[in-house]
Amino acid sequence: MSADRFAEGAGPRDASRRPAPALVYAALIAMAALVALLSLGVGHADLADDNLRGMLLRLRAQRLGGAFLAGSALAVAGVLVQGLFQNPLASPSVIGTSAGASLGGRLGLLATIGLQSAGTAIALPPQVLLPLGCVLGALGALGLLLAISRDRDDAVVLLLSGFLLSSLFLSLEGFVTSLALERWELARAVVTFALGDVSAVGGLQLLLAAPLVVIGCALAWTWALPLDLMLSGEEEARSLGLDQKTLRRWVVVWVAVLTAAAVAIGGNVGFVGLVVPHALRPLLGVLHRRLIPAAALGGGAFVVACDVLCRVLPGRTEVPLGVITGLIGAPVFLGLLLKHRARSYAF
Amino acid sequence: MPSESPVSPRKRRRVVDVANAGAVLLALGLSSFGVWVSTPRAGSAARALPSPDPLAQSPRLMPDGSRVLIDATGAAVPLGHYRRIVSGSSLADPLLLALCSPEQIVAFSARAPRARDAYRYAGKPAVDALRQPERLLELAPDLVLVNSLGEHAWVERLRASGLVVFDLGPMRGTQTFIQNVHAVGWLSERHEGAAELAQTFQRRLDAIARQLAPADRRSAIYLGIHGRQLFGGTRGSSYHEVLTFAGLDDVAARDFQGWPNYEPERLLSLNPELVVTQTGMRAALCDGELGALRACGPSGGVIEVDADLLSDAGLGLLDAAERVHRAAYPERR
Repeated sequence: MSADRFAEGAGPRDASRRPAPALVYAALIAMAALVALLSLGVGHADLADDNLRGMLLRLRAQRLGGAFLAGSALAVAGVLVQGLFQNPLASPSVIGTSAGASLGGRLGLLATIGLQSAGTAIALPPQVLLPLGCVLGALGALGLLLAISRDRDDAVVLLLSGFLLSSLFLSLEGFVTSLALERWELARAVVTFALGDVSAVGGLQLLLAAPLVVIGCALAWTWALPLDLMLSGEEEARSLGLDQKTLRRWVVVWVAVLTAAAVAIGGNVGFVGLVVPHALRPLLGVLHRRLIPAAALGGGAFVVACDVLCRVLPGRTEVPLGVITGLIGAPVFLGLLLKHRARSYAF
Repeated sequence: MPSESPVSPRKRRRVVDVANAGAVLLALGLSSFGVWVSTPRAGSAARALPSPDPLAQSPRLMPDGSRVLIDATGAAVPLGHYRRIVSGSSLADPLLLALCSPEQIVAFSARAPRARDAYRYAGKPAVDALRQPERLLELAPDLVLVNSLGEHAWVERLRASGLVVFDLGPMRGTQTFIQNVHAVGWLSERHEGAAELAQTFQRRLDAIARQLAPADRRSAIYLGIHGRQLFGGTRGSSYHEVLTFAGLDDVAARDFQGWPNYEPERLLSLNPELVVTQTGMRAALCDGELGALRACGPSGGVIEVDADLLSDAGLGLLDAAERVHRAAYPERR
């Protein structure tokens, strides 16, 4: 897809018809604050109880932090990957690191229960093996991707390598899941992880993921200008002195870091990296230096809002977060797609 | 990066690489530091990986003179006068009923209202202890019993909320159940009652097929049929123990363990005399190509048992084994 068409996807062609970026940021901050307040205020227990209030707020704050970090990471990763491949249909999963993180998480679960059965003691608390597995899995996938595409300065090779790695890791995930089915408790843990969930996020998970997300978003923003140059097309960007190989390498690295953190916190939470950038482009245009901070705010607010919804929907147990993001994300994405198509948006 | 400075592209690339690599290392370093500072230091029982410790049923004396019980996560839970116990485990529900006074029990597990003997748990709230921490906190328990089943993050979150949590660990059949009976006994200050309960349970189980010579044992497997999927339950699961205590020879235990998924061909090669399954599964098993199984023929049999009873890894295991034994050896009644 050409850069021009990518730019067309930003909604109103006349930039003057868009709201001022400051207004959009203010609205996003207000929205994030609102959903944060809702997240702190909504729950099964009553905050009026003086004895419980502190503890309840702490639990909800950890959950809020986990949801916000996961959402921010996925949305910023979505902006990066869509800018890199100049394709608004690209999601952070296309480079294979999400599948690598997911496989790593499952292996972490397998290791936890395997070591438990063997009665082996290790220096780490068991609840850290899953997020650690996610980070290592994503970094392993990243290493493979960079090694495969090392000598080829080509976005298509990168994309195809990512697709193949994704398929490979999904197959391995299937194998790990089939192993897990032989142990009931492991199968239950794998299913919970696969459905996406931030309800168990505690201080340890937050401390593990926060540096990855904060530094990842900050460094992603430093690549905004080169990604903006890519909007004018690869040839023109090259003529302007853009080192595309370096750009590809580091954008892929930061997408990997961000998806690793997101999967480590929330498991498989889908559609965030696809929907949030799409929803923001009509408001802010296609420039990445504007989109990245907005995606960090908007993605965080979106996942926090979905997490609040998980809590308020009636049911014997909470609806998994990944189910809610999918149920909201898919129709919203379809709506955006049809709206843009009506404006001669050609995918 | 776009070029407007006089710096050579190669040097600029190196600067970019070093800056980004440094940032990646910084992010990973801070993450590792975060995990390190929030990890319990050496000497803490919580640092050990959970292990099915056979000694977990006996209290340990701490240097300060207090007594503790080590749970499945390796955490030391002090023995005390617990007066507000919440069961977050379907296995602990009947144990608390059997061992504790009603006022000692604040709530039962979320499965209690759906249990086959749900009426016994009426009048007390039901709570999913791991996934509903806020409801749990409202109940103000002084002890929470759970079977975390690999969900360590949830257990740690409850502990971080200031609750005393004892993780009974995975439910693997009689061995873990008897450990759990002792653990609940110690924690509820009813250890003598618990020891008696465990002893009676084991004695009754052993008595079911005591008179049966090994050569007379009929071959069998447990099978759960879900659509086209054939799930087993053998060595390492409570299903295997139901079969074994009922006096059956679990033929799947030679090749499988845990909860295997059988292909029809594999099932036909095992071809046991009896299949133990859940109520209503006979038609699903025998009406199709698996009708060739010996169990579906006149010389075999399909023993159907209520699903809740059959999957009970606690006290219900005794009832299930007795029922399966009566169905497998009707001539011995």
